[in-house]
Amino acid sequence: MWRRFGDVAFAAVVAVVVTLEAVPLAFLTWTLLGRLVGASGGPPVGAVLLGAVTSLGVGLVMLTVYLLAYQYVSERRAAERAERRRAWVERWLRVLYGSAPEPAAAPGRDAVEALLDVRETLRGADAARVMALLARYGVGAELERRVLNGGTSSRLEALDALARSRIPEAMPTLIFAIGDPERVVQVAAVRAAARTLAAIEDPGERERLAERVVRALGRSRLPFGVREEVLLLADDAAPSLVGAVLGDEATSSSSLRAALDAVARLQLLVFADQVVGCLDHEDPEVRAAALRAAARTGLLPPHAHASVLAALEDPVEFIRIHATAAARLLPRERALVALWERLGDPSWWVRRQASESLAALGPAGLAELGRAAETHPDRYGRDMAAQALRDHVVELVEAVRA
Amino acid sequence: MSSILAIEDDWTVGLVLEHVLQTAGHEVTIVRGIADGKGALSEDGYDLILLDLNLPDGNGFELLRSIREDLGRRTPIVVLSGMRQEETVVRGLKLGADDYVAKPFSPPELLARVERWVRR
Repeated sequence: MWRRFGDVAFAAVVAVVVTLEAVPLAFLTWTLLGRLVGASGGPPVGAVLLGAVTSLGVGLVMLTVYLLAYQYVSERRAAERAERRRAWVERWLRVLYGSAPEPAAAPGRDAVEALLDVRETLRGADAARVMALLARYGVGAELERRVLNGGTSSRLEALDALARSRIPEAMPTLIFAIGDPERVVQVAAVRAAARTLAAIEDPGERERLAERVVRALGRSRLPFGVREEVLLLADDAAPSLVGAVLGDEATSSSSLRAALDAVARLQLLVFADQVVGCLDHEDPEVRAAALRAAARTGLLPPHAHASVLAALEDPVEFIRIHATAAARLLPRERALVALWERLGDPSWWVRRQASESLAALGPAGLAELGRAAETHPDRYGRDMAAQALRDHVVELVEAVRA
Repeated sequence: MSSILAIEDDWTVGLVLEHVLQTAGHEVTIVRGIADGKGALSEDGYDLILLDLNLPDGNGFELLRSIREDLGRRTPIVVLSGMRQEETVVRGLKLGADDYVAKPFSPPELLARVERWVRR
């Protein structure tokens, strides 16, 4: 949105410009129609046309002047505001490190924004001192009040500020806002909750709140992308949130996939058993996410081997792709046999993944690729193996030397 | 007193660094991007470089590589970045960074790390 203020002035300018254009054009049309039907009298057409063009010109000049003036004023205001915030950051730093007194009265908006900037930068004991300042001036309470009351943009601003300040006491309000009817408020609230959760140090309290966030998330019907983002944003609190999702029997497939992808991306090895439990899930997207998580974490306990072998034969292509990636974690002989078979898969993507998984197995896998390039019964399998050998020529040379 | 060059585009972080390091008796120069960083490095000898990775005119990794390989400087470099992923940290250390501090950071911890490298 290019306008940050001046709604009334903008509406007035638009009204005047539209009037300056619409009225002369209507009058011109009326005059021309009169001439067409042979009516006499009235002003000459040339004069009406000139008046209409002049009026349009005046309207355009007004609009241009308004836009240029707005740009100038807006930039000047932004620069002044940035300067005020910078001055406040310097003052807050002097307050924090003891060379300046705390402001006696509750500070204004720029001061609060500056304090939130400082809060975002610091961790540890200094961050705790910023939190004490935020509490002293009632910043959290005011932001919570704005989240619960007011227009959408004000609520979003307050949620953004709460995300930056990460005030644990605001968690009940944030969890409540996850259930808001407006989707944008839900998204902002869940992001703020995830970031706040990451700042809670007490493990018991963090897990209790994580369960509440997960329950609210389950009710919210937010899309998969937001759920995944929230789990990744939670940072140090991600294991608590992922644990709560994986431990909730009523969790949706969407949340489950997001949790499994977070396990993969954040390498949360502690959830290996829960990943294995999802390898036979009824939803193919969840099965694929579990296979992805197993492949990326590199953890595949023996009791999960049968699930991976079954997934290699799955009729759904993307399941076979991820199963082929995970198959390199099977015992060596079984992996070589399974991946040889997948080199003959009808899907190019599965064949490609099979060749990559074989290459990742080191000298034994490269030797298998060499045999496949010569003797695999499937022509496309032979081509893929030969291509993989060309792609991994450096590893191949090292393997031959070894 | 040691001389520290901080290459950091976020002015709040810059002010915090300036405040914390100057209070501890260090001389701090703050520049906002890669071009300014290279300019500062060509003029002055610094005892330590604090380097952000996301800079407005490029990637901090590029500058890190350039300091080590093109300029041949052995000045201790502490990366100060919001990117906490394992691969980013490993890449920074492999390119020649001596230490890696994730943002948000604890000023006393940063100061302790800076002083350890300056002493060396």
